[in-house]
This record gives sequence, structure tokens and C-alpha cells, in this order.
Amino acid sequence: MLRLSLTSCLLLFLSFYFTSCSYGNTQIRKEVVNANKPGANTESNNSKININTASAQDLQRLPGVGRVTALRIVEHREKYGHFRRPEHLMLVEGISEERFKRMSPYVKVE
Amino acid sequence: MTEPQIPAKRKPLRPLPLPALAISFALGITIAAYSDLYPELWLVGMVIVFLPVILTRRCNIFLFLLLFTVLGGARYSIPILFSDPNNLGRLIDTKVIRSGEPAIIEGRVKSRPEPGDDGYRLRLRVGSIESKGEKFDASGEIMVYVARSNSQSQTLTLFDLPVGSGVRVACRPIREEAMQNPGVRSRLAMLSSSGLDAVCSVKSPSLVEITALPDWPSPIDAAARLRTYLILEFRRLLDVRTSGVVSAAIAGDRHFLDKQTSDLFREGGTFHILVISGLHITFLGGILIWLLGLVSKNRLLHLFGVGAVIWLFALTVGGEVPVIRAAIMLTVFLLARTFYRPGTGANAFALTLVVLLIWRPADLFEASFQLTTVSVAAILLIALPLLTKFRKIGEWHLSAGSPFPPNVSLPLKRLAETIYWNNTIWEIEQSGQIWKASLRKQPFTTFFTNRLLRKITARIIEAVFVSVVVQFTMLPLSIWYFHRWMPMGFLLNLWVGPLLAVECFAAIATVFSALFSETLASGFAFLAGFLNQMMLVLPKMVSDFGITGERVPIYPGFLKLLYFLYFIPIIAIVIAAHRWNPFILGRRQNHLFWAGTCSAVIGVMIAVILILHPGSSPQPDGKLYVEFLDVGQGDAAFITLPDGKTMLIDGGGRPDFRTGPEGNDSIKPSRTTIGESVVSEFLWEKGISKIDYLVASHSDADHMEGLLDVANNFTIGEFWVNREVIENKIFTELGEIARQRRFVIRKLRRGDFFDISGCRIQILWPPEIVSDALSDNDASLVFSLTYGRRRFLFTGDAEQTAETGLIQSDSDLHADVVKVPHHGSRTSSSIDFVRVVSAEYAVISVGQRSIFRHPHSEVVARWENAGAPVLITGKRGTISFISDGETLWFTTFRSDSDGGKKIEQ
Repeated sequence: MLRLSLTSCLLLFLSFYFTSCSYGNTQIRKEVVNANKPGANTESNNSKININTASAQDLQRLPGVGRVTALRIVEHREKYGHFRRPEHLMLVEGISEERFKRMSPYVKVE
Repeated sequence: MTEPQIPAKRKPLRPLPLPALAISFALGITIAAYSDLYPELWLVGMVIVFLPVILTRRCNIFLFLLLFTVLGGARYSIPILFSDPNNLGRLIDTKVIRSGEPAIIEGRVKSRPEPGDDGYRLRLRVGSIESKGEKFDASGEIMVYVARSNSQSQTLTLFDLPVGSGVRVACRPIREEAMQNPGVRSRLAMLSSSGLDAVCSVKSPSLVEITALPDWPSPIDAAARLRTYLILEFRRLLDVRTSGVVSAAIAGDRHFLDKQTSDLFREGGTFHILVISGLHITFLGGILIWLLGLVSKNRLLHLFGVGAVIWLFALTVGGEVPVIRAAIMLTVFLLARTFYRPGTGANAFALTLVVLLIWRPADLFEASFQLTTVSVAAILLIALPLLTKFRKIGEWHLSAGSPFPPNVSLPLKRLAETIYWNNTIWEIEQSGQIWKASLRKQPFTTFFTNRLLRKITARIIEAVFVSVVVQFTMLPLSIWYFHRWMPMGFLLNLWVGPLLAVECFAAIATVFSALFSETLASGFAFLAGFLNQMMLVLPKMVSDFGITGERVPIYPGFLKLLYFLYFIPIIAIVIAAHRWNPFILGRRQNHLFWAGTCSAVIGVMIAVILILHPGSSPQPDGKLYVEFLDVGQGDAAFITLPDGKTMLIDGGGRPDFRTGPEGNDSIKPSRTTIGESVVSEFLWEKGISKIDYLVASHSDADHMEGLLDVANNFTIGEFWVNREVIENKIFTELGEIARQRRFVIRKLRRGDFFDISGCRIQILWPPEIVSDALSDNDASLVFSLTYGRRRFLFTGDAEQTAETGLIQSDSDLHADVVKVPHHGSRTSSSIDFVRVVSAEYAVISVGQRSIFRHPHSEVVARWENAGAPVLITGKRGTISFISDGETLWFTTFRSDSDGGKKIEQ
């Protein structure tokens, strides 16, 4: 009886292990694939500001970016090199996720 | 089962070789860690000691001990000699990558993301790091704190990340000291003890890219998934407090504990039950062995079955060091059991210690390692041998194997018989014999006629005994690390432990039954909640009656030796307990009895000294000490007046910029606070238990929050605050503590002054009459402290309005040392103010990294141009000024600059 219950416990665990893992991974896999797809953004590329080349003046055209923030972006670029992704703007002091969300449709990285 | 006995005629060291080896191994590690010997020497020494052993093929015992000492030293030195040059920690230490500068880190997820402060914690094994366009291969581990995002999907994806996934994180890795004060644990030591090389926090989950997923799920991941599932289900099905307790006790995640519960556990000395460690593993192991014992008697099966489950469990709950340590310990004991080598327990225990120290030698100096070792040692070396012998005395009856009665004093015999005497066994034994005998047993033995009742009583008495022994042995450690002594700990442990165990089963039953029926689950959930409340009843009562024991400071300087001396009588007790043979023939071992008793008395005497700590606080020497603490963003200054009276101005705290925190207000999460882990630790290290004057400049969190802990942890004379104080939540809470702990609150204004022990304290701000309501900052208490010809000015967060008011009020503002208002913000330190104060030294109390970018450079320049060197707590650690009324000295905790310079008068 106990042998039986122990075996069933083991089987239960194994089945849980395989189902849960494969399920979870396919879910994430889909999202990873979606996230890595190019051209996910719908905004046309031309009207966007390239944060790796734009001057402080140009950067101020972005929503929520004033003189101080624009200067900080330029300073960050000069000090630590080019931005790899638009999201890396959040490494700049003072740019929160909220502020980044507002400017993200108008930002590109080349 | 009958364990084979060790023949008694062997030489003393023979049956117990391993404890001596473990001690010499530990000694080697200690010497290597604390002496400045070259690490290479240990390797050379190893060869030198090995040679004669190999050549002569003979091994003297002392040579053997020496060999283990050298091995210990060598083990400690190896990571220093052969450390990876690409280790992230080293890259930062050698300034190849600078702490706090942006970098892109690629690595693999080491353990599943866990909920943390307002986001998630993600532990990564670093593969490479890119900084300023340069890419380095790197190794090591980093903890990434990911802020919770408003976009749910991103957060969820990240939370579901399996172990082994590849990620790329853009962040600013940080590895540097912070809160540098004497007595406060170094940040780097904390990092290395948790196996991390750096930490970083990112503002959004979108800064974490997933680059690869593992092809094949690892078993660890499945275990971790089970853990996450359990925690989420607990939170869904149980009430908040219960789920917090159960998540900690079953899943090893203490993040959801609420403050009230964890405070009750800490005060009562039962918090270790919530931390998954030896206790849980032993409990689980015990149940498993019992279960398996029902199925099979094969010990090899036991070893593999129990071992597998224990290790899976250890990995499931996060694989933290204490858990793994406990698992190793249990495995060694299982091994000993499998091969019928149980010995005295001391051997297996010593072997475990050697294994643990080989695994992580630096753990020898860690609190958790020491606590585990000492508590297990107390149980194995004192409590269990005594109990076993005690039991044998009580159970003794005439038989062929034991023809002689125990040779002990009568009261002891009577006591043991009351608890253990079993008349039934004796009757059965006697019925099979051809002879008859009558034993003169104590008359009360028939008191427990009910077998079950007697058994339960015996178990309870045993548990109380073990608990008392453990508490007694752990006292110096508990004072040293937690500054607590728990007079009721032994009782509370016995109450909380079993109830929590049942509660955990109820919680698991809840989750399990929820798979089938929600109604059934709610029934179990109710049971768990009820048990949780029951469990807290006794700790609450103890806390309400105030018998939890005050917090205890530690002795400074060479008096610290007392904490080590304490263990000498304990070791004497261990030896006496080991040597005692209650069935010895001939002379009774009275000398052992006296040795044991005397040691116990000496131990209690030292314990009383440690608890009452007479003379721990510094002796008054007629000098004024003003120490500005490094509390990060925030203020705290500790003053010792010439006659030894003490004053604390502000207590640091976490600046709070989130208004209206989400969640239930009545249930406060349990977090480490600056008031406890920095300010209180600093004061305890100084040996202080009373603060005569507790002062809050105003009620901002970064000034007053820390005072809550201080007011709880120390005896307070009176509490001073400005008259216009904003009565926010913190202030109300402090008022509550003042009522409970009976100290007065004085609200001060300009014109109030105090003459205390030769010093004059003159309150300069806020004014008598306030025309417009002052802002929180501008209402700050500003006052001067004059001793002889020397003057200090404390300014809180006063801003320009207050500064102008101060200048216009014609008070004498000149000071030798000024605490620059508002952490060096440009909203304060106006040109006029700086000129009027004309200080010799300007102290800015602010962390190395201020989110407000304090101190502002123009403010620093303004003070320096006025001739006052600026000292910043975040850069120098504690800044101390000492004055005898004429001369003024200063020293800083960090000795990198011109600290300790004497200022000529």
C-alpha cells in the first residue's frame, strides 16, 4: 500500500514537472519571439529621433524632455558610448519608466 | 534498534578523533584569515608537514593535528591565490569597471525570479560584461532588482523565467561600501557572504532582455516552479499574516512576513523557526525516516530516499547557504547511520563541520554558521548525553546485563525514576525469571500509571531541558549578533514550534484540497489561520507583560573577551557530561558533579554580567564627543557630553517619495531599517543602552524614522522636537512608543536653553511667534551646543526661510562645526548664512549616492570658499569631533584622507 502511494507520488511529481516546464517555456518562447521580431513598432522610422546622433536641441523635441534631461542624455552618450536600444535611455539619471514610455514612440537607435 | 557501543578501554582520543581534527582545521582557517601571512606559505607548509608523514609512514597524533591546521589554512588561501581575474567583483575592485557606471551584463538565470521590494529579484551568473563599449568575459554572480512595471505582461514574462535562461541586462552594477560606521556590518562583507559580486537595480523589466531559453528544463527549475506555485497559492487561499508565516516556513521566502509577526518572533527568540535551516531539515528528515521505516528496514534505501527528498527540498526553497548546510549535516548523519557508525554523535558532527568548512571556509566567521554549530553542539554534546544517561538511571532494573544499580545520589535517582520508571517492563522481566526481587523505587513512580501520560510528560521535560541548554549555550552569540537575550525563549520555542508544524500541514492541505474543492480548501485555510493566531497568543502575552528582555549592547575593547570566556565553563560541562558514567563501580564520580555544577554557576555568572553589561558604556573623561553617522541619505549625530550623558540628534531613515503606499495599512511588511541595522548597531557597539536626550529636528522620514527603532531599543530620557512639528504618521507612532515606554516629549522653540554637564544648548529655531505656517523643513529644530570655547551648530533641514529668519533674529550663529542644512541642498546654505556662521568645519550628512544629487556642488564650493573644509559622511563614514572645550580634534572612520589631524589652537 505504502509502496504504491510512494510510487504514485513520484509519478505525480514527474508529470507535474514535465507538463509545467514545457507549458511555461512555450508561453515565454512565444513572447520572446514576438519581442525579437523587427518592426514591432508601428511608427514610421523617418519621424523618429536617433538618440545616438541627435543634438541636445533635437532631443528636447521629445515629450517630457527638457534642457536638463537632454543634456544628461548627451553627456551619458559621450561618457559611456552609444545606446544599444531605446530602452537604455532609462540608464540615464532622471529618466523613469513613465518618462521613457512617453518618448519611446519617437525614439530610435541606429 | 541497538547501536553498537564503543569499547570503553580505548584511549581517550581514539573514539573521538574527528572533533580534534575539526578544531585544528578551524584553527588553521582562523590563523590564515587573521594573520598577514602570505597565502603561499600555507601551501609550502602543507608540503613540509606532509613529507615526514609520507617518508616515515608513521603519523604522530600531533603531526596529524598540525597537518589539519595547515590544511585549513591552505583551504582558506586557495581562493585568494587562484581567484579568477575575470571575476566581476575583481573587475570592479581593480577599477576596470567602475561601480555605479552603466554596463550591459549577459548571463544566465541562477534561480527563479523572486518577489522583492516593489519588484523582483533576479540572480544571475555573469557571462560577460560590456562597459564603455568594451566587452569583457566575466564570472561571478549579480543580483538584479527589477522594479515592478505598470505593464503587467512584461513583469509576468520575467517572473516566469526558467532557471538557465540567458538574459542581457542594462544596469549600473554597484559594489561599494555604504553606511560606514563602527559596529555596522560592511556592505562588501554582506555581499560576499551571500555569494554575490555586485548588485544592481533596473527601473523597468524592459531593460532585461531574454536572449535564450534552456533547451531542457532542469529539475531545479521544476522545484522552483513548485515553490512559486505554493507561494502564490498561499497568498490566494490564506489570510495575509498566515500566508506570510507559511511562505517563510515552508517555501523559505520571508519576504511576505508582516512586521508585527516577525517582531514577535524576534523578541521571543523563536525567529529561527521561520528561517528554513537545521530544524526544518531535521524535522522533515525525521518524518521521512519514520515513513520509510514503515516500508522497509533497509538503511541504504533510507539514505538514498531521505537524502534525495532533503536535497530536492533544499534546492526548492532557494538553495540558500544555511539550508544546504543543514542538508549536508543531515546527509553525514544519515551516512553514519547507514554504516552503523553513529559513535557518540560528536564524531559525525565534527565530520560535518570539516565538510562544511572545506565547502566554504569563510563561513567560520559568519553568524549563521556559528549559530548552527553552537546550537547543534549544545544538543549533541550536552543535552543528549545527559538525557540518555538520565534515562538509563530512571529505567534501571535488575537484569543480567545490568546487575548493579546506578551509582548516583539519591535525589537524582528519585527524579529520574519519577520520569522514566516503567513498572510494566519490570513486571514482565520478572515474570520470566525464576527468582524474585523487590526494587526500592520511589513511591511517586506509580503517579504516572498511564503509560501515554508518562511518555508525554517525559517528552515535554526532555524538550524543555534541550531548549534551556541551547538557550544557555547560545547566549553570548545571541547578544553579540542580535543584542537580545530571550528569557522566555525556551518556553516560546516549545509553544510556537509544534503549532507552526501543524499550521504548515494545514496550509499544504489547503493548497492540495484546492485542486479538488474550494470549500474544503477554505475549511483548511480557516484552520491554518486559527492555528496562526493561536501560535501568536503566547509570544504576544510575553511581549505585553514585558518579559521579553531589553536589548543588550556589547562590551567594547578587550572586554569582548568575556564572550569567549563564556565558552570555557561550557566546554568543562561538555567534558564532564562525556566522562560521567552513572553505573561506575566503586567510587562515585563526585569530582565530575562538582566540576559540572561549578562550571554552570560560573557560566550563569558571566551570563548575568553580559546581560546587565555593567560598565559597558564609555567612562566620562570630561571631553565632548560629537559623531556624525553615515546613514546614507539622512541625518544622525550622536553626542557624548563631558559627564557621560548621551544625546542622539535624528536617526536616519529611508526617504519616502511614494505617497500612499499600496496595500493594507495595518499590515506592515518586515524590512531591515536604518534605525535598527545602522544607528542602533552603532550605539550597541559603543556599549550604550541609554540615551538621555533623543532629538528630532523635524518629522521627515530620513530624520525621524530611525528614531522609532532607537526609541524601542534603548532607554530614553526625554524626547525633543521642534514646536511646529508636522504630526505625520511617524510622529504619531513615536508618540505611541513614548507613551508605552514612558518618556516625555518636549516641544522646543527659540529662547529655550539647557545647561547640561558644562555644555549650553541654545535653541535658535523655530521662533516664538510664527506668522506664516512654516514648511516641514523650515520648521526644523536649529540649536547650538557650546562647550568651553567650542561651538557646534545643528540645523536639520532648515531652508532659506529659516536661514533668513535666523540671521534676522540676531542670534549668535557663529560655530566651529556646522552640520550643513538639508544634506547640502541648494535650497539651503544661502551666501549670507554661510558668511554669518563662518565655520571651521562643515559637515554634510548624505550618502555616497544621493537620489537628489545632494550635495549640490555650488553649496560645497560656497562653504569651502568661506574657509570651511567640507566633510561628507557618505565619503568618510562616521565623522567624529572631540573637544575638551579648548582644542578640537577630528577623526573619520575611513582613513583615506587627512583624518585624525589635530587642529592647532
